[in-house]
Amino acid sequence: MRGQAYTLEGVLAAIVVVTATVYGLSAVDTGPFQTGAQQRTAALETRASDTLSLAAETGALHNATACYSVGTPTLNGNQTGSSTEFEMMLNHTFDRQGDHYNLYFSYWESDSSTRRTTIVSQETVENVADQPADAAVATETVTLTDDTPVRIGDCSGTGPPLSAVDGYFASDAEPDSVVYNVVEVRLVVW
Amino acid sequence: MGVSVLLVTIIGVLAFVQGSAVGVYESPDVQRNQPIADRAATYLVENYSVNGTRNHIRYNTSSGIDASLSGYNAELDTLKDKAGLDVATERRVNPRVNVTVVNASSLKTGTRDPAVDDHDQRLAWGPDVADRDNVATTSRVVKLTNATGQCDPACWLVVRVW
Repeated sequence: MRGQAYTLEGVLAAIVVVTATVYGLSAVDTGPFQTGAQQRTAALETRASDTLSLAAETGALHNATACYSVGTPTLNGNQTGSSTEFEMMLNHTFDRQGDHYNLYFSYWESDSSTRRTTIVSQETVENVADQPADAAVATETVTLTDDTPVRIGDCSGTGPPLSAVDGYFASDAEPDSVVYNVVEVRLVVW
Repeated sequence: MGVSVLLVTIIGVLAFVQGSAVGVYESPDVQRNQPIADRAATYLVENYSVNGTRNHIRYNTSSGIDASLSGYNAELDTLKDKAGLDVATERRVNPRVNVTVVNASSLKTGTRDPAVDDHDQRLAWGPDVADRDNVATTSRVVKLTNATGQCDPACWLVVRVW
């Protein structure tokens, strides 16, 4: 008899606890918690991928990758003196808002079996060294063909086709096809 | 002896979980409103983009972003309906939404003043955000059609929710 009473009490108590839990959970809004740093990284990621999308859409990214200046890409992530449209985009969207970034080009080597990744923004040495773990990354791919004219000056004027110039930073990965090289542009922001 | 073990334990726990347990947490208001702001910005960018392009917003056309948002009431209720902004994680909410376009020269100086078009109209829709606390903000990088020069090289579409 006493055992039955204890059991009944236990069952009732369990019902009370479960009811209270369910009621309490429906009273509060249980979303995932985010720290301020996580939110900032998410915002930077949106901005980085937006910038690359927009640059790809307007052709500024294509111009930047085809930009030719005796051997090296003219992109340098220069904060003030940059006149190419893509660099101005980066400047307005990140530099002026107090954010750092590194810009990488990844392209095929001449035998088109290995890829080489180089950093093309050389604003400060700290940029290269100081990459925190919560940096945001965005990528965009640009295909260059043999008859793509190189961009000269502020990367908007057109010059001779890529296959005709010497010393462009990327070489012709597939000499037998019309594809010159495929450049992956990677933007790391923090 | 016991005290030293206790201290070592407490210090050890604090040292190891510091990043996750003692991080700076955003206000719950911002946490609830951030997904709403993201959703609103994504809706605007995807719905008003020129067909077949990314982040290129139709501004001054009949069904462009200006005609639509200016046609809505002051609280942008139609936008809230269409983009589904009245739902937080599990429940209905009633957020207030402000949509602003920031032009390139403002970005260059680091401010967030709204752009002004040819007819001296400010490109800001919805209630004023001034003096509000805990505002969740989402910024998208866009270009506007028919906005000569203002979006060169880029504008920001800023959605604020509180």
